[in-house]
Amino acid sequence: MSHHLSLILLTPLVGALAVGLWRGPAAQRDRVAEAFAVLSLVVAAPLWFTYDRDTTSYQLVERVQVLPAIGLEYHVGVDGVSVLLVILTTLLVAVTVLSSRSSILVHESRSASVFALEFGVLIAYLALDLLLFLAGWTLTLIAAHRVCAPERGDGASGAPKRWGVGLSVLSSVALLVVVLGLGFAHREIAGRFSFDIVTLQQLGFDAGTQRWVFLALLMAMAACLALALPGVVLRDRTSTSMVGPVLVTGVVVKMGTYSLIRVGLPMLPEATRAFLPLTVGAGGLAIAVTGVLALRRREWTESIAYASASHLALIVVGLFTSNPVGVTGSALHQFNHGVSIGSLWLIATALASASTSAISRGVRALMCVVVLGAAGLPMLSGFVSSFLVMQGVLTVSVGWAAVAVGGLALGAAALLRAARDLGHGPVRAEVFGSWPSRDAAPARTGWLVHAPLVALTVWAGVYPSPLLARLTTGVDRVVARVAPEYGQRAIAECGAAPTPELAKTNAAAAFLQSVPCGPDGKPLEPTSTLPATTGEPSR
Amino acid sequence: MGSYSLWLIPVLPAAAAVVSLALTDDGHQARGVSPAVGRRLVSTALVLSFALSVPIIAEVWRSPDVAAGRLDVLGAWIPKLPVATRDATGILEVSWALRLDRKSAALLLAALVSVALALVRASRPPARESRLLGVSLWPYLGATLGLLVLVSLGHGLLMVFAGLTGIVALSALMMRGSDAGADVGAELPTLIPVGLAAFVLAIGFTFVTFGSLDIRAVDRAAANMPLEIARWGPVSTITFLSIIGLVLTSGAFGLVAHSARRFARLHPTERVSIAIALSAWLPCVAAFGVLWQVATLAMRAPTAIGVAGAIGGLALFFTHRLRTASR
Repeated sequence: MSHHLSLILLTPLVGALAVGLWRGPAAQRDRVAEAFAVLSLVVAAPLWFTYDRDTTSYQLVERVQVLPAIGLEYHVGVDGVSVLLVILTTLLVAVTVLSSRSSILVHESRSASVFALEFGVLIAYLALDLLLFLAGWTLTLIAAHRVCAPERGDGASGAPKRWGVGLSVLSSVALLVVVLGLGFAHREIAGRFSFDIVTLQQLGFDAGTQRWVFLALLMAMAACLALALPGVVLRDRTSTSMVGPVLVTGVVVKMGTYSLIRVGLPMLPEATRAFLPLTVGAGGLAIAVTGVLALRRREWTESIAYASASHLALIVVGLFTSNPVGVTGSALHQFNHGVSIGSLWLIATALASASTSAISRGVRALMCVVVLGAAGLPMLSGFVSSFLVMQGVLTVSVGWAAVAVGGLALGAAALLRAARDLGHGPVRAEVFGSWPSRDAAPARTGWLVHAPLVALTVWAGVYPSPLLARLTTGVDRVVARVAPEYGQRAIAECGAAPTPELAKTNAAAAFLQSVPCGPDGKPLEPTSTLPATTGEPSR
Repeated sequence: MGSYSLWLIPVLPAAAAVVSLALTDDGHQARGVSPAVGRRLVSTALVLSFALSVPIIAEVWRSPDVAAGRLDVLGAWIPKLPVATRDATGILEVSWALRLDRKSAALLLAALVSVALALVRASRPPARESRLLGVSLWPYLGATLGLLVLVSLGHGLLMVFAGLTGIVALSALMMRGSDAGADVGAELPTLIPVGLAAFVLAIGFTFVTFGSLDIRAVDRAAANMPLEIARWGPVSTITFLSIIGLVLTSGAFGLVAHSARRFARLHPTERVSIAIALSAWLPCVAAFGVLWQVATLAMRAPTAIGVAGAIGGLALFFTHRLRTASR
């Protein structure tokens, strides 16, 4: 049994303890924090290479019984979706800590919270046990609250703070309801409790149970995503850094969308289908509303936050389409959104703490690339994933596809405006509003800080195939559960002439370049599905 | 025909543009090269790109059999994914591929001519009035030639879209050298994404209707499409959205140019940007041309009304915003 995943989890945990308990000079503590941030990335990076793209079951599985009586296990494993999210998390934490110098590490408790947050998120991404997933989720939200908390006691107004706490509690309680509901549902079927994700993904719960559990999951996810709204994530107007926004919008809220991939779609397929018009419609509306708000705001930070929320809604809509292209685009967009939104916050920090004219044109050009990538311009990271989601939504509802694309366009307009300001500095002071604080410790603004995320932005835009290839088996598993009619990956390899049956039923079929057919060139049976995924862990 | 890859034509100037932008001294970099070196680098790449293109174009016109087409595939952009179409499950697959036939060769020639004219204009002294725009102009020309080639030779509609987006985005970023340009440039970031959204929706509909984004395949399918399918429904939607998309993207630059008084107040580099953005129209019209031809008279009427409405609204919007800005 490989212990790679345990090592990935252990590194930020040790980092949190080391930084939190450090009693030496603050500068040394910051160096320790930077070292652990980089170490986490170095430990997680090999996942990219060791992950087997052809294996359909979860990989690198570790399983230890903790409390068999209630079905509690330490059960972790990865699929392609979680591989990307683990790498994204460790990368963003490393870049954030390295780029912010000492500004984020003003208090030891805050810097320890950064690692606690990383630890919690990684648990959620790697967990194959629902109780473990819930533990990671809750720990993350607590740590996120601490990371975003004001540095000075009088800095934040009460209302946004209460909103943040309220949303976190609501999200955790709703997820607890989901976990207990699925545990009890399993007991009704099998006579004992189990929170094993692999097992639960293979069961067929009755429609009534699916519906109320699904609604609870929607509530947990929505409350988690709401943390990314500017009223909550930008609650500390005295902050000297953007570490809170970077980690909350880039990492924490991804747990919400990830819960749909891990729990919602595969465990509750009937409810997903039943609520599809509602969820896609609500998501489309959310994209449009946040897009309008992004365009109407003049402050960069608020525009960025709303544009980010718009893309989060796009991820949700893509998942609910339940078709391969929508789910694939959505899973890819989770990664791309993390890269672009993290970069945007870092840029805002850099510009606020140094006048734009003091930043070289080359670095400003790199910043422009990131902003344009976040806006979804082709050949940069956001485009392919957004296009795939749009294509997925088009097959579900033409109207909502138009609404969603329009909303994204407005969000992109807000970002293009920022790119235009950036390309022809100096940037006017008013675009920053009152945040981040002008007392901020100067952030690192050199090209080395931005280069890794810019490189990812370009790479994911020009050559996303390696990313998409890692997502295939994970997406297939989800789609095979929620929309078995799409479980026909084999047809994608065919591209033969139209089948006679299809040509008979519709004249337009004669123009299709590719139609359903098996690898042998014969028409595929309508009921064909993917080869059944056993879900059994590789021991 | 030259045995070299078609990809050299767009990649050379685009790469030179990136290098020039990164290395040219703009007053902040202690060790940057002078703007003159950056200009020479980009202009050399442009000349090389022209030199590679001319024999290819000449060969295509001499040899009719070449019209069957040459396809240079660099690699996969979007790997195979099953997508529901109108009638079945199609395969969404997009490659980085350039195609060469008579039509695309003509488009390439048009792109070269427009950039050559811009080069001539950019070489004249007024282009150096503003240091910032003067330094940016040459990388802009290099990048836009690469993108124009992509639009002209792109094998799929998504590549045409990628090239168009790049051109209009870069051109909008260049509109900042004069007060008039700044007024106009402030509105473009709002209009362009809306236009691009309409354009990308048109591409999505095209795939859902025809199961392919390959321009040739779509052309073939559209030309043979039964009237009862073509007249109403997806084809009219594609036509409408693509026209609106073009109007709101590069067409917005046309409205700027249309206002003669304002055009005279623009910086020369801004005029060059407008000209380049407008020249992206031609290959886009060619890409969707067959679909537009399929449109019957019955379909053209609502489309024409919609397009006229969009243009009128755009003109009103522009006039109002520019008047407000000038106060």
